[in-house]
Amino acid sequence: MLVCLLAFAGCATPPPVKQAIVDIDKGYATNAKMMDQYRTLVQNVNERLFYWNRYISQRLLLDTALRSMTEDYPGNTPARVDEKADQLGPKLLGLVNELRLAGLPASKGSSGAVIFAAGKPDNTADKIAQRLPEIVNRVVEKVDEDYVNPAKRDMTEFDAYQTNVSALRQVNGAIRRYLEIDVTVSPQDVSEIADSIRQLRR
Amino acid sequence: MRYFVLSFLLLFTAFGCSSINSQSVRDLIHLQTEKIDQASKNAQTLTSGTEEAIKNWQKSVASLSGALENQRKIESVNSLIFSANRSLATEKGINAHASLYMIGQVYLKDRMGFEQTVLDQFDQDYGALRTLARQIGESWKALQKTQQAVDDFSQRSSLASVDTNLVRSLIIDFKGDTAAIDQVLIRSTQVNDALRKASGMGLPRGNELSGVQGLNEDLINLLQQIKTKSP
Repeated sequence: MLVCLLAFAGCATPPPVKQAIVDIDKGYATNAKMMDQYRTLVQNVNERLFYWNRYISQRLLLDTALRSMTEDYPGNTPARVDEKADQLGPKLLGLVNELRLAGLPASKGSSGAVIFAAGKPDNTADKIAQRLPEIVNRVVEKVDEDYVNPAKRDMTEFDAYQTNVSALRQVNGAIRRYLEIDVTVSPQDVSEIADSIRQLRR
Repeated sequence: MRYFVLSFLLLFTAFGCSSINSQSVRDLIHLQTEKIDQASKNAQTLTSGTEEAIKNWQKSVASLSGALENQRKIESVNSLIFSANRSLATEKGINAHASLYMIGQVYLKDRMGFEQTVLDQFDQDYGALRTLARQIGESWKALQKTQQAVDDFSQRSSLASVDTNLVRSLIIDFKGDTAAIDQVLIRSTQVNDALRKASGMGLPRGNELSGVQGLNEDLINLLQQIKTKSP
């Protein structure tokens, strides 16, 4: 029995090596957490850029819509008229044409068709002010159409990274389990080993 | 016979096993060493990849900031025109546009300060990404060093001693500061939430609009009164 124990004790892995295996596992966990944080930050920056774009676009479009209702752009060329109409989109353009101030002339696009209608005689700034909530909502709708969803960046590389770290942790876990067995030999194991040796003697 | 078995076992004890008594486990340890080496090499490209991504983000933000800056100049002019004491009912052209835009701003969130917070958060996130890229690289290097020491040890015989150098090389020399990054992440998410709400303009849609209309009229009337009473 003593010989058996000596035999196994002789192959026991020193505690610092076992501790290193445990620490490697902790190192993997920290590493995986850091990459997870990295991934979240990348998502956040992409998402913020999307909303930042939308936020600024709304202000610019509101300005364009109100300007189109109240002013005739100096040096309006057909190409510029087309460009502004494209920015506004059909719904907002419809509202602009409905509310353009009295006295504003019609503007034609490059096709020769009237894009911005002449202002109606009874249109005033007050009337536009009363319709501001609707105008703002149309602006939001148009920007929403232009920026459908935050661009979903391909995150598969991060998934693959976590899968690989997880696989390494499993390998390390298997090594750790093996090294735990070689010192913490249970009484039952000792008994079984002794029986095996007894059988060997026969 | 008994002495023969004893001698055999003692021989086995002393020389028959290596420091880690299983070829499969030694293979596993070696496999792990190879994989960590590869991961450590790959992690070095994370730093340059991060810099490249930050450069692209900065370019996009700068382009948007340019547009915002131009709009701010327009808003300053609008603000000056709006502050002139005239009735909205009779305003035309640029005066009408300026007044209406300033009233329209009521519907948008209070922007001063908030915009700078958003821009500052971009910089804080870039900083955290740089820190993480560096720390992930350092983490793999530390794992690589310790794993190599385990691998070297596993190839030795059982008579190999555990000396100070081995113990030293078995210690993982890395402490990442994930708690500080967590703080940046909390703020980063909060700023995104605020910006998402702001870019939604917070205006109720559909049936709720009529309720807003009344409130809105009150607000416009109030603005008109302020304008009329101002010297």
